[in-house]
Amino acid sequence: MRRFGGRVAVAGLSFHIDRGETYGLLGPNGSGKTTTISMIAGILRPDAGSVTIAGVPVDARSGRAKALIGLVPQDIALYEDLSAREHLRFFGRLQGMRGAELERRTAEVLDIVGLAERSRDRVGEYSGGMKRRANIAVGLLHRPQLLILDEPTVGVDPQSRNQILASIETLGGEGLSVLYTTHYMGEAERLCRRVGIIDGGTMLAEGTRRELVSGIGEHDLVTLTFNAEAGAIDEFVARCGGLAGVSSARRRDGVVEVLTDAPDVVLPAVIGAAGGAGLAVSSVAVREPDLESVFLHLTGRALRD
Amino acid sequence: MAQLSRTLVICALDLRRRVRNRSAVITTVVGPLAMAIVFGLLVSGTSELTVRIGVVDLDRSAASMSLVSSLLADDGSEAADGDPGGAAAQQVLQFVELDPGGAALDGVRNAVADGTVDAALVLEAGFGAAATAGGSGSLVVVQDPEQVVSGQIAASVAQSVAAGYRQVGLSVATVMALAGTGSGAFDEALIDAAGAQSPALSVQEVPVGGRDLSAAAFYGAGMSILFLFFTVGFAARSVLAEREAGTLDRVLATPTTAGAVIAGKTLSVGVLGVAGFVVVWLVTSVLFDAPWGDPIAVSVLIVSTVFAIAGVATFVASLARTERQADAATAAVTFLLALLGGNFVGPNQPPLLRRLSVLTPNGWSLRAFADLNADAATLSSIATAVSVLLVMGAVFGSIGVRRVRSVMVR
Amino acid sequence: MKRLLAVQAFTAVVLRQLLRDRTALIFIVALPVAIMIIIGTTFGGQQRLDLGVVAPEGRAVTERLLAALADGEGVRVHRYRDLESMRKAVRRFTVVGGVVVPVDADGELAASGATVLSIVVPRTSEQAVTVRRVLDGAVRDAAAPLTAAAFAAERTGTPIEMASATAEFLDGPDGAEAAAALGGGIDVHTEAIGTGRSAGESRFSQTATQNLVLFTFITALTSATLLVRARRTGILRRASATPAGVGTLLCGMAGGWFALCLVQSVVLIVVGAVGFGVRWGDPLAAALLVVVFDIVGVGAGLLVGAAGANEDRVGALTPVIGIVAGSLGGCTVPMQFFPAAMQRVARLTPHYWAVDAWDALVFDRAGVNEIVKNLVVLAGFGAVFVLAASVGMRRVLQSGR
Repeated sequence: MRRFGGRVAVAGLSFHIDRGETYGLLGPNGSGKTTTISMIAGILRPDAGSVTIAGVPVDARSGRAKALIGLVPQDIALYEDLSAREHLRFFGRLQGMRGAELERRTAEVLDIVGLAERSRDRVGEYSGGMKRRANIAVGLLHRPQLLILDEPTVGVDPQSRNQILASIETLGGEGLSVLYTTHYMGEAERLCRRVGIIDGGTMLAEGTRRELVSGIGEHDLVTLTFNAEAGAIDEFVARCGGLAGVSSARRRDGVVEVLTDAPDVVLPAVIGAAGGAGLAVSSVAVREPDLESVFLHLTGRALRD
Repeated sequence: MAQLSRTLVICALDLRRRVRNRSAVITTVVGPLAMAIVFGLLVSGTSELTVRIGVVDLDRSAASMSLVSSLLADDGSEAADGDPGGAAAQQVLQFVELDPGGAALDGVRNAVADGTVDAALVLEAGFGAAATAGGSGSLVVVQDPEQVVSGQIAASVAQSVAAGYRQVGLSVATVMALAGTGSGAFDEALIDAAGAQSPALSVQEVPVGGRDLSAAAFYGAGMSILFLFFTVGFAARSVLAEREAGTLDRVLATPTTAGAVIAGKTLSVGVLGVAGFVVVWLVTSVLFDAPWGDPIAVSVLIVSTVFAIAGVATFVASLARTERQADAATAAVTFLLALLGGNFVGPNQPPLLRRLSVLTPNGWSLRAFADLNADAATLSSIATAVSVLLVMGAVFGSIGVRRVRSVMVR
Repeated sequence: MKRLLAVQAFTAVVLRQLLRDRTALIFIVALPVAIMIIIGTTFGGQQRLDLGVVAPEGRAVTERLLAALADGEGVRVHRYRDLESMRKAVRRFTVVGGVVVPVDADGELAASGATVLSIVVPRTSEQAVTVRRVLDGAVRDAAAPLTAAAFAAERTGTPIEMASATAEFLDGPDGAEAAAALGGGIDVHTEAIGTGRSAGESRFSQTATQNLVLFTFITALTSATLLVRARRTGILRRASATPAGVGTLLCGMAGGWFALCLVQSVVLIVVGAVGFGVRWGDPLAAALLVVVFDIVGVGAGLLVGAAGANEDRVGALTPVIGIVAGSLGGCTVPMQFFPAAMQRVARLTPHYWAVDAWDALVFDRAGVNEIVKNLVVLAGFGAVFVLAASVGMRRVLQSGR
C-alpha cells in the first residue's frame, strides 16, 4: 500500500510474475500503475506490504534486488546531451559492469533496439521513436531478470511501436520476465500471457485473457455507428438495454457499444430497434470478447476515458 | 566500496555533461578571469598623475617671497633621507607660480577650474606682516573637489607652512614669557634662532616591507569566490532538474544509493570549482606577475573555500522545490553574501563592512587570500580562516545534503 | 495601427513574464539599491585618506599628533598595536600609510627636546607623496609648541616641564592672542571651486549614477537569453507564419525590455532621489539620457541574442559582459583612478558616455546642451547595435536556427 499525503494511491494490490512470463498491468491513466511500478523498482517505499524478486526482498537501499530489475520509465528519462552509447556506459557502470563485458553488452543492446547506427548521436537529436528505444535499451543493458516497461509505446509512431513490441516478444522468448503496463488492450493481448486489470489503485481482476473473458461471460461486443443526434442515440441506447440478451449498452459519441452473449439474436433486434427509432446505421461490427470489453464490464467505463 | 565507484561514475558523467555544455566553463573560468583581468587593469595603482600646485603671492612681502621661492624649489622629492621612492616621486609633485594678474583670487579659481593647476595656495595681502610681526594674515587653499588628492596635498602643505610660522611665534612668545620681558619688543636675532631651531618631532621613513596586495590577485580570488556559488550550487540544482526530467528515478532504480548520487554530484562541482579557481590563480599570477602567495597555503585555502561555498550553496538550493526557485535563491544569496563579504568592494574596506564580512564565507576567504598575497598572513590567521570555512561548509552542507536526500528517498 | 496593437500585446506579455521572474527582480531593483547603499555609505561623499597610527595611549605627543591629524583634510585614523601590523595594513591597502610614535616619546622629549617618529609610506609614488605631505603637515603642526618649549628651555635655562607648560598655554585658546601678536598668526582657509562635489552633494550621487548605468544595461542584456530561448523553441518561426510577422514580434520583445529598463531606471532614480537625496539634475536632459541609454542597452541585448547559440551559455555570459563593459566604462571604479591607457579604452563603451553625461548633469548642473555630444554618441551606439542585431537576426532566421 502507498499513500501520498492523505490519498491512498495503491492498496490491496498483489500479484506475481513467473520466470520468463510477460505480465500485463492494465489500467487507465491515474489507476496506480506507475506507483506500483515505482515500488517494485525500489524508488518508492511502500507504506505497507513488500516486494520480492527471485527471493530477494526489494528495499530502497538494497542494491541486490535492484540489480535484478530493469526499469523503463513511462517518460523518456534520458540526458538530451548524451549519446545512446554514453547512456549505456553510464548506467552499465552504475550496475557494476566493466570493460569488455560492458562494451560487448552495449553493442548487443544497441542491436536489439536498432540504434547501432545512431549510437554516437546525442539523444536530443533523435526522433520520438528512437528516444523510446534508447529508453528501453537502458533498462535491458544489465540483463535484468525482470524488465519493467511502463507504457513504453505512448506517443510512438506505428513503425517504431511495432519494432518495440517485436523486440519485447523476442526478449520474452529468451526467458526474461516482463512487467508491462499499458492502457492499450491490443498490446497487452499481443504480448502478455496473463494480465492484471487495475483501477483506483486496486486489482479488479487477474488471469489469462481467456480466464478474464470467460469471467464476464463470453460477451460479444456489437458496435453500431450512427450519423444522428446524441439525444436520439441515447434514447436508442435506453431501448437496447431492455432487449433480451443484451447485458449492457452505452454510447460513445456516435458509436453505440452493446455487450451480449447471444449476438445472433441480438444483432437483428438491435438493428430493428434502430430502424424503429428512425436512426440510420452507417456501420455495424461484431467483435469477440476482448480485454477492452472486460474492462468495460468491470468498471462501466472504457479504458481510454 | 561499490558505492564509491558509483560516486565516481556519477561525478564523471556530470563533469562530462557540464564541460560539454560550455556554460560551466564560462561560470568557472571565463567569468572570474575576465573580471579579475578588467579590475586588475583598472586598479593597477600606478596612474601617471602629476599634482601641480599653483602658488600665488598677493602680498609681495619679504616673508611671502621667500616662502614662494622655497616652495618653488621644492620638487617633491625632499621627503626623507634614503627614501627608496624618492626618485619616482620627483615627477609627482610640482609647484608653479601663478601670475595673480588683475583678477586676483578669481583668476586663481579659474586656473584651478580649467586644470592649469590642480590646486592653489594663495598668500593673501598681509601674510608677511602676520607671519613676522603679528596681526592676522591668510593662506587660502583653493581646491577642485574633483581633484581630491591634489586638494589634500595642498592643504597639508598649507598646514605645514602655518605650523612653521606658529612654531617661531610660539618660541619667541614662550621665551619672552619665561624671561619676563614684555611683549612688543622685537628681537630679530631671537626670531632667527627660533626659526633655526630643529623641530622637536622629526620623521624617519621605514620601508613597507613584504609585498603589496595585487589588484589582479585580490579580484582574481574575489571573483572566483563570487562565481563559485553558481558553479557549486549546481549540485543540488541538478538533483532537482534530474528529478523533473525523470533521470534521477532511473539512477535510483539501479543499485546506486541517494548518498552516492549526492556525493558524486558534489564531487563533480567541487572538482570544477577547484579547477576554475586554480586556472584563475595561475593566469592572473602569470599575466600580472602577481603571485598570490605561498602556493601550499593558497591551495589549502582554495579547497576549503570551495568546500565552504559548496556547503552553503547546497543548503540554499535545497530550500527550493524547483530548479527555477533554486536559481533565484542562489542568485539572491550569492549577491547578498558577496556584498557583505566585500567581493564588490576593493581591498580598502570600511570598518562596518569588515565586521559584517565575518558572517560570510566570502569575507573569511577573501581576507585570507588578501593576507597571503600581501605577505600579511600568519600561520594562525590562515589556520583560523580555513577552520571557519570548513565548519561553515560542514554545517550548511550537512543540513543541505539531508534536505536533498529527503527529496530523493520518497 | 493594428501592427502597433500587436506590438503592445507582445510588450505586455514580455514585461509580465520578466516581472514574474524573481531572479530578474533581484537584478532589477534589490541588487543595485543594495550596492548603492553599501558603496555610498562606505565610500561616498568626501574621499578619505586612511592613515594608521601606532602610539602609546594617553601621552602628550600622541594626543597632539591625533589632534593635528584630525585637522587634516579628510583624514581617517586607524590605530594599530605595532609597526608590523600597520605595515601589513599598508600592504593590504587598509590604510595608505602611517606613523609610529615611540613608546617613550614623552620621556625623550623631556630629556633631549626631540624625538623621532617613524612613518610608513606606500610604494605607489602618487600616494607616497600624499602620505608624506599629510604626515609632514600634521607632525609639524603637533611639533610647534614642543619645539617652542625646547627652544625656550634652552634659551632661558628654564626646566623643560615649565617651558612646555608655558608653550602649551600660549598655544591654547587663552594664550593665542599673546603669541599671535608676536607673529606666526597665519590662518589657513580652504575653499572649493565651482558647484562641485563637495557642494552639499549627496554621498550617494556618484554610485547612484554608476549603478543606474551598470544595471539597466545588465537588465537589457538579459533579454538576449530570452531571445535565444524564443529562437530555440521556434516561437520566432511560428510568429513568422502569423500575419503580424517576425518584425512585430521582435519589436514587441524589444519594446518589453525597453519598457522594463525604463521601469528600472525610474525606480532607481526615485529611490536615489527620495531615499538618498540624489539630485539627478535637469529633468529633460535626464529623461533623454535614460531613454537613449536604454535603447543602447536593448540594442546590445538584441545583438547578443541574435549572435548567441545556446541559452545556458548566453545566460551565463551576459552578466559577465554587462559587468566587464560597465567596469571598463567607469561604472565600478571611478574613471579618475584609471590608468591613462584604460581611460582611452573606456571611450569605446557606451557606459563611459552615459556616466560622463550623468556626472555633468548631477555635479555640474548641466543641461541638454552640455550633454548633446554624449547623447549623439550614445544614439550612434544604439543605431549600430540595432542595425547589427537585425542583420544578424535575419541571417539566423533564414538559416532556420
